[in-house]
Amino acid sequence: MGLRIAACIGWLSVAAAPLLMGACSSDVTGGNHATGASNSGGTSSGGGSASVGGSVSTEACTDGVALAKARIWRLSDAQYVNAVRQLFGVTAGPHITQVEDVAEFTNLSELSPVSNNTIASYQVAAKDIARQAVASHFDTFMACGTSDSCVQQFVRNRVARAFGRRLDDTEVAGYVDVYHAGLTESPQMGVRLMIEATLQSPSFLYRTELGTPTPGGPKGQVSMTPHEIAALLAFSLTNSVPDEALWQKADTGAIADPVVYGQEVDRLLALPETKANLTQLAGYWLGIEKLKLTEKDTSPGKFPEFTPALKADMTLSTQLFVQDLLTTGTVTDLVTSSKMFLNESMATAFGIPGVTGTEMKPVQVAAAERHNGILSQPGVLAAYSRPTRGDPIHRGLFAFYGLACGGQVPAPPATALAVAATFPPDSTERELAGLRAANPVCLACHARFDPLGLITERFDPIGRYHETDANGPVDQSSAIITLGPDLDGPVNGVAEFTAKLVQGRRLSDCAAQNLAVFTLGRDTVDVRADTSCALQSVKDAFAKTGKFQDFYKALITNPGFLKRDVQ
Amino acid sequence: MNRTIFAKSVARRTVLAGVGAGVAGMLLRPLQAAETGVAPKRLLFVHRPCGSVLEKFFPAAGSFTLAPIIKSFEPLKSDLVIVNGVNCSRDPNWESDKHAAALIAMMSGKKFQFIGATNSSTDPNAKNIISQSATIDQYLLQKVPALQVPGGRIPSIQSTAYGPSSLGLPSFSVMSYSGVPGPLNGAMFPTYDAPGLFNSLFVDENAGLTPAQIAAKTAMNKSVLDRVTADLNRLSALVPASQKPKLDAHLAGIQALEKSLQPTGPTPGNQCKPAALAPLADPASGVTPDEAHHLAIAQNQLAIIQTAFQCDLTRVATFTFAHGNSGLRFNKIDPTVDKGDGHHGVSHDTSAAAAQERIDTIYCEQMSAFLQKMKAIPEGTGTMLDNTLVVFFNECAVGNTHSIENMPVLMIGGKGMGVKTGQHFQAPAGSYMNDIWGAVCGSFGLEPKFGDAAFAKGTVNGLFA
Repeated sequence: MGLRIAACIGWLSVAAAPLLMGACSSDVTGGNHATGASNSGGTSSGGGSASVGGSVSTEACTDGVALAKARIWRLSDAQYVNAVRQLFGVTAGPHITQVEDVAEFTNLSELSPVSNNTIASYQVAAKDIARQAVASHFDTFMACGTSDSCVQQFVRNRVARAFGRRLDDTEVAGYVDVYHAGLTESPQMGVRLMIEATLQSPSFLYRTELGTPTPGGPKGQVSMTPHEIAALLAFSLTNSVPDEALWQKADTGAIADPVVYGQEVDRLLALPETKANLTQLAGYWLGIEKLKLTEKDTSPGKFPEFTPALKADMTLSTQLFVQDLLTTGTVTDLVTSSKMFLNESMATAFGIPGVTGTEMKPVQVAAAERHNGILSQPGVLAAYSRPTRGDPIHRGLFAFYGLACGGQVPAPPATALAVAATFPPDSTERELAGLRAANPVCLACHARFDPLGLITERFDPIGRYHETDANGPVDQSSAIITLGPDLDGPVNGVAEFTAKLVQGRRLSDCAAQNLAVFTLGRDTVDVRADTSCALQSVKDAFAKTGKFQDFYKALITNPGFLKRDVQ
Repeated sequence: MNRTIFAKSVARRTVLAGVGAGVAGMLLRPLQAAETGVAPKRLLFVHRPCGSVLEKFFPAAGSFTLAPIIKSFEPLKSDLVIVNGVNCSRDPNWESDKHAAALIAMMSGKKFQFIGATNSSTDPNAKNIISQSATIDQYLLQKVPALQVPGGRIPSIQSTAYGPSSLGLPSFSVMSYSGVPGPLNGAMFPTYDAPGLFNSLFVDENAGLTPAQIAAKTAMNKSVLDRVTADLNRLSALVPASQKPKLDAHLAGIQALEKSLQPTGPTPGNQCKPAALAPLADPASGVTPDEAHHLAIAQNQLAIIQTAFQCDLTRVATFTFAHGNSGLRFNKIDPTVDKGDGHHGVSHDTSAAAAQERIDTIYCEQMSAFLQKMKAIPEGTGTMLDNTLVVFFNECAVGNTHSIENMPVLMIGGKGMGVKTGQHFQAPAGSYMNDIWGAVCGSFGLEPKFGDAAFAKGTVNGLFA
């Protein structure tokens, strides 16, 4: 649900979006790139826009830049549920906290401090899970017996796994006390109480990235401990606590060895849960989460074809496309692939011949309009459309931020909605774009991203392609400005845009920047502004092959990934 | 009933409803009224989202003929004040989400405060914001002893009929802030879990246990919380300064749990015995539970507040139907709302004015139906409504433009609290909501002002006797 806010805010842009001319203009001149600016030194040149565009060569990044600050990072509900399933054999959730829609923020550690309601929800969940766990698995948990030493064994094994670290003797003794408090009723209650305490403890609810001072490293910088490294790897890739194999390597300290670490990265990257997790996260970048919230006006004459079944197919289809891309694809495939995942009913809905059966299968689509990767996926085109009509603004913003990494566009001025209200309500989307381009309130910002939406005009609000309409051929031309010499100029249709986009480093750097946000758990604006050599070297490594698997490897094996700045 | 079970209940479409009628009939006269002959005074603030259609909301100048959107208030006309000419206490040029900023401004009378980070859209409007200080409900609760229930364990209620909380962040959905400085300044998240709220208020989980059993149970719970606190203290000593606020907020939540170790349920001797909530019928096919249950949950939440007032468990409550980014699709509830978009989308669609009017009318109908129930309950020499001041407002005047001028505000009830009801009140030109709150403060004997003085015109006269 997280994207509701994006939808909302974006909407503001719809009617209004543009900024005062001065604001956007200054952004354009001050923050644009694609000039080949090199920033190998790891110092920020300031400015709001990303270091994308021209080719950048980076010298070896040896100064040990940390890719995040020291922090504690509260588990998302999904992570909590995964951990509890793994550790206590109970399927809980999916909602643990009352917060049902933090999805877009699950990657960020700094958001949403707990409210008292959340703490109360954790208590309710802990009691419920403890009850179920003991009812089903008491004999397993306490196979050794119910002596104090057996209780200690439970704590040193299971509670430690939940905490992602070893407990000291005082803590173990504290758990034995908790057990004894429950023992007044029964041994089962004793174990229940221990699980309740475990699941409500910050040591479980927060991953720690606190580290220990880096030997010989810069002042204020720490290196993560073996246990923290294991947790970071496990949560980043599998969205859960470390599995048994990884836990062992943390416990022995072996994970701190770069060779062992690299082997674990390879092993985890191949797991199905990792693929699912990375697809889920990339789905925030590539419109899948937005598609899940998308509804259309299904009344006769509008889009009755957009049934729940078709929407589900489109969602799965896009997920499979993204998962395939992240697993085997390259950044060029991102915008030039002709692959779609289709079953018969979805293929029929989009006029693609030769697909039979209910199962989704990869298809190389012959029709040229489906040769633009993510920009050909019906799900994405539908996600960035309105319920009753098209939406070049949000399709434009998707390409602007998500693929071209244009600089930050400021918020609309207060008068924006009032200006938009003066436009004739029966205008076409192209006419509205023309009105915005002619209006000084709208122009400065909309001229930057509307053109990227107008090139998709031949795709209707549910993603079907129409070369012509009642008025003849549908105009899919526009002129890109202010993005840089690699993209600026007239462009006719999506294919012309993507052909330009795959030249040079822009798309590769932009994809890296968008994906790094999730794996690093940092704010988007913060990552955009990061011109450190650590992040730059990740981008360089990715650009060499363009393979998404290489991006993840480069990021996760970057020395900065395991370092933290203490603030 | 816990959260998990509730979620399952939703899936099985057995969300509870009908508390109002069932419970009200079961209740004896409120304890406080019976004991002293004087009913307690209460405050209820209710928010509905996404603006109104002003020309269909306000009567003509000088007229008290109800306009179409509030036609349903006809039976409450003698209890009603239509508050006309009041602006939201804010500057429309503030950068941030307009709905969230507006709700905070309406309730706190001040500009919001930013907290960290933006969402991945990186829209400058998508920053997270909270109130700087106590909102009007909490301010009055803190300042007016008569609004505090002696020995009460639930100072106030905050609830909602909308599940999605927009990112779990306080920006959109939180109406009430205690103002206690902290990471969220005491944000009081409204609960969507009506059965959970009902249980926490009215169900004594220790019923049937012996004192010894209760003591043992309390000792066990305390043992768990002690261990959790020890773990929190351990971690707190390890984290850098930038991370401290997270654990401070966590500690506050643990401390609240420790407080609740006291026995729950109505105060012994209080004869409130609310009946079990009745299950809600299955929604019509094709209507998602989310939308079909919205209004039913609203009535449940309001009835719970009403019962808590009657039992004198609490005297202050805030309720929000939904926040300003509501995705509720009313065309599935009312087919005359013919757009495929959610409420927020409809409010921005200039071609959907009829739908926007209909949605605001639905909310007003809901509110009127609830208040009529309150009016039907005798209390002291009048009705329960006479002893309850209800303020019913929207965070925007017009949804599409997020306008702040002439907010669609109603005050209902409170005759016994000095409200001059039965009028179309025209505020002096340039008045702000802060002026209305100032008048309310004055009616409680406080200094008649509230919020940022830059967004206040001066004293509003004529609302209270």
